[in-house]
Amino acid sequence: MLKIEDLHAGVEGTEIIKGLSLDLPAGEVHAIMGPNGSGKSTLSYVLSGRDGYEATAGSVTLDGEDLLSMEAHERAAAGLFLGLQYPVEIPGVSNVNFLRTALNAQRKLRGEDEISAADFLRETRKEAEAFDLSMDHMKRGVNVGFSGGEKKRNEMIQMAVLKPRLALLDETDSGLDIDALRVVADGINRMRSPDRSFLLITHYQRLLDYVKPDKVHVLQDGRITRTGGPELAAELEREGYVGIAA
Amino acid sequence: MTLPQRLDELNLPRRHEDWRWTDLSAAEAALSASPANDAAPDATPYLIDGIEGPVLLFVDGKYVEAASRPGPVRVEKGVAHDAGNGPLAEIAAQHSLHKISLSGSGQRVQIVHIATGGQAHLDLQYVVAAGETARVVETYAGGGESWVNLALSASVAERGRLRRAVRILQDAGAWTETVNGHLAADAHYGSVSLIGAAAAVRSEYDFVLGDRAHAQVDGTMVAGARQHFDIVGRIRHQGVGGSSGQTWRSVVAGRAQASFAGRIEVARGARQTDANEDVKAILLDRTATANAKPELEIFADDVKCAHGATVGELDKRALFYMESRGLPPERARQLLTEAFVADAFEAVENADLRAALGEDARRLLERVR
Amino acid sequence: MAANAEALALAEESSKYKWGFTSDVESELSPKGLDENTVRYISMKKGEPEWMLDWRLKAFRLWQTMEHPDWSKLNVPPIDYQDAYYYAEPKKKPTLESLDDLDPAIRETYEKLGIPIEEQKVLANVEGARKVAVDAVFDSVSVATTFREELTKAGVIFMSISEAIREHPELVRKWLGAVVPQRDNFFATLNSAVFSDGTFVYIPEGVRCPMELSTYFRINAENTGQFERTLIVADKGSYVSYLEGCTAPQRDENQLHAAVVELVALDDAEIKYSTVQNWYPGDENGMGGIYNFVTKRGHCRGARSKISWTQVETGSAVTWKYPSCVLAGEDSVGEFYSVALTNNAQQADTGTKMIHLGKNTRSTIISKGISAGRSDNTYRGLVRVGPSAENVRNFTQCDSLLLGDKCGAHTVPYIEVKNPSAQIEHEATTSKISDDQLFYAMSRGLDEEEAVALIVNGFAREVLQQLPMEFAVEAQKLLGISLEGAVG
Repeated sequence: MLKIEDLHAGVEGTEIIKGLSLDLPAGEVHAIMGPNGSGKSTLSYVLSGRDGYEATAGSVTLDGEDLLSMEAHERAAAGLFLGLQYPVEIPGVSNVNFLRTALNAQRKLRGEDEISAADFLRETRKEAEAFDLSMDHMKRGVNVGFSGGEKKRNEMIQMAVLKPRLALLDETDSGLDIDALRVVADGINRMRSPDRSFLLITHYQRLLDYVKPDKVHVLQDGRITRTGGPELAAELEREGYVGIAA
Repeated sequence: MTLPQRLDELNLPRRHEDWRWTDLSAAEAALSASPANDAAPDATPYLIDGIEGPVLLFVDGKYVEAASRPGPVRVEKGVAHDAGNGPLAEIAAQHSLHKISLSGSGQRVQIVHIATGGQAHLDLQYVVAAGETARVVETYAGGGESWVNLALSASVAERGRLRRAVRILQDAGAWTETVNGHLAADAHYGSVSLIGAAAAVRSEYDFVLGDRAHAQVDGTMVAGARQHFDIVGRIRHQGVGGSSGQTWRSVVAGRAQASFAGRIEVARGARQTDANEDVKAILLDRTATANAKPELEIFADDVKCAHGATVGELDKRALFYMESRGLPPERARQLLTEAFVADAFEAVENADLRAALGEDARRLLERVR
Repeated sequence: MAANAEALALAEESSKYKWGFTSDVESELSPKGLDENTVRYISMKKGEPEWMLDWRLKAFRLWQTMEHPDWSKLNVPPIDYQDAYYYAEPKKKPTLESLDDLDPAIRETYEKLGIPIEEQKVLANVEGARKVAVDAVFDSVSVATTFREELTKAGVIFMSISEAIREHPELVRKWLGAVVPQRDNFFATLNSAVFSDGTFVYIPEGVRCPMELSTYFRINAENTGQFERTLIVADKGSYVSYLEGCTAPQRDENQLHAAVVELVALDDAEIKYSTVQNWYPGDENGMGGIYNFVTKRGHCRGARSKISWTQVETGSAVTWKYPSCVLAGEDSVGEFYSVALTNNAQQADTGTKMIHLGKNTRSTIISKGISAGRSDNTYRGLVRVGPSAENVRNFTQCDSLLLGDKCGAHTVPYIEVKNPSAQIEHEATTSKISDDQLFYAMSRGLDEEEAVALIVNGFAREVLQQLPMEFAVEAQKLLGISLEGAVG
């Protein structure tokens, strides 16, 4: 599904990702773990097309389509979802309005019909309930006045409604208490399917106790330095990043 | 005083601080222009859906009785009087064809003014008795080489309430107003202005507040091309426990300029005043200008006064967040801009009115993009 | 000098203004009044070259055509410019190797000034003392400059501007009036015509000035208008921190102080300019205080240059002062940190202008105004962003604190933006000391005055911490002293 080959990328001329390759097949969950400053956030921004994060070499494809040549919203329509470490507050634009506008914009770009208001509301209500946010929350401004945990749960609701093919979750586990972490993990597990992949970007293995990854990659200084099974996460936890350095 | 034929006859105090950013040169052509012959003027296109009540239609300052249902509003022959509130109010007071008096009937009155050309002066007097409520929506439409000039004297007695909405939708010409308000103890005043059309707008307001009186003066400016909008506000707290709020949002594009100069004055002894000013501007083009002067003048110690002003562009993080969810950049900007200006309508209680203002704002924003 | 002795006696009697005293040093005064001859006299007394005299005369002729400014918020009685002396210098003009040779009366003056501890050590020749160079401007002529040698070694020029005109005419000619042009404003023009002395600093390329430079200004002779001129040029990649502190003797007549300070920062240079201003504010009724009409401006000409103004203003009857930054160089930074405290009948109208012309320029304005007594305290500021200044950032915070209900606090900010990529944020608040805060502090054992001083210092903390340590200590004390009698 996602194929990254020898990616070099950075910000304002400073190279941060230095030749990263990764193959994420459909239906699999991979985790990228790395210490602070290893390039985790840069990777998620480069993949999702944030201004100022430029790929200088290499390629990234999603089901064979060149991701890097697309605008951020085109990537979303192509099936990419980015769960942010710090979801942004947008006063004055309600969650419901935002999500519906986003969903319909994606469908339009894919040549699909708009979703009916009733279907959309039913779906949103269901997911809001599943992630333990009230419809009252959903009618407020995007993330406005939400606690850290509520923001992350809102990200999960958006993911569930938008149904991406590839979900890129950047430090989604940070700032969550154990109950919220379970809610998020359950959401991911529920959405796992043979035609959907997940890339979990994280510093700690906490989330991986609840979401079992198929593979774990270690990101250090802009490169994948080791790849292994779920046991690698536990090893990292025990030995630290320095300990397992190749 | 005769009707001015040239701008310099107005003797505008251009060097005065309150005129620092004002440019009324758009009014020049209107001074010698004449009204166009409009056969059958109709207020209907400018009325707000869902709002019942009296309707008054004016064309170029002249009352159109046949197309009006004035209800409790009195429209009398204008009587030249001394306004004493600066040159613009003075001209309006001298040359208004009518004296338009609104009192507290509780009904929401709609006043529609259509400009077709030339000068139109209006003398408005809103007098709300103790405990009563008056509501008015003013819509200024039309355009051409016109100059619409208002003098409004608003006086609200104890526990009275006055609600005023102003929509400036005329597509050309100049529009000016001088508002003088007196709020007695426990009186409430609330206004919202949508300034989006006309070539030049100057809105000057001055409210004097008694004990526990509240004034909320909000508005939005959407300026593009070479439009030139100025707000010059003054809120004077003279009683104990008064409060006021001013929320202004502007979106400025092209070579336009939008300025807000708002002064909060707290007199000696006006203890427990709570005054707030919240002014934000977004520039869409590098040829656009936004000015702000949020001024405080405080002579009492037990007060809460704050102002905040920002000028900038749309929040880039929010834009990216929206795009990452699939919104095309244009759509994301549009949503953010609409949400931004809607801040100024938040205090509007009537849902139909709020929706109409939102719709007006959307149309105006489309024009400047 | 019977009058001076009398004044001294009077001053010593008065404990309210602890630094109100007059040194008994003989002064040589220029004839009273102001005309072209006064200008020529000043220039002649200072042995100035022809070009300097011409420059002064040009300014004087310009000044004669100018109108006295129209005060917006200040109440200033008309000033008779003919009824003042424009030049005074101590008769025994010392040329000193060290401060020990200084006239004992002047030494005593320093003592009373309460020169910061570190500097007292320096004056007392204590070994290992932190290095601060003091260029004392006593009345109008620099009387002593210390540490000149060490500075010379570093290539730093630190001398009175009169000396600089003689010794470095090429530098002075190049930069004098480059930041504050002669016609800038009424007082700057007057200063250009009659400036008596002041300080010149030049930091050469790549040099980090080895010590903080400090000048003590004093108005000493009676009826002497004080027209200081300061010019600081920081060449590429250099750094300098400059401290300016003022006190003035007690008087019955108002005195005019119209200084001009010009700062120039070239590529990658940084100038930090700190002021503690404590000119005599007048008595409870405002009688006899100083009029302080100062023009201070810095020009960030070079890329990545930085100019930072920090001021603690507690003195003067009337203060009119806007230390400003013209941010022309790309990525340059301007800062303004200010505490202005007014008590009794004082009036202060102060603030800054941040003129953003270059790309990626940033500015920060933190202003803390404290009003007590019947005083009026105004912040007046301008943030302007030119059309080609991309990615400008400004943050402004203006807070006012009112003590009592007879004073006034005013905030008059102007924001003018012509570039959409700018991010300008302005916040202002007005508050008083809450009864809760007072009670809490007093319940911990402070008396009311101490409690107020504590809270006021807390209010001003963000600014005070910008000052060099010894200055910060002095400034804190000053805030407390200036508030005496404001409580209760």
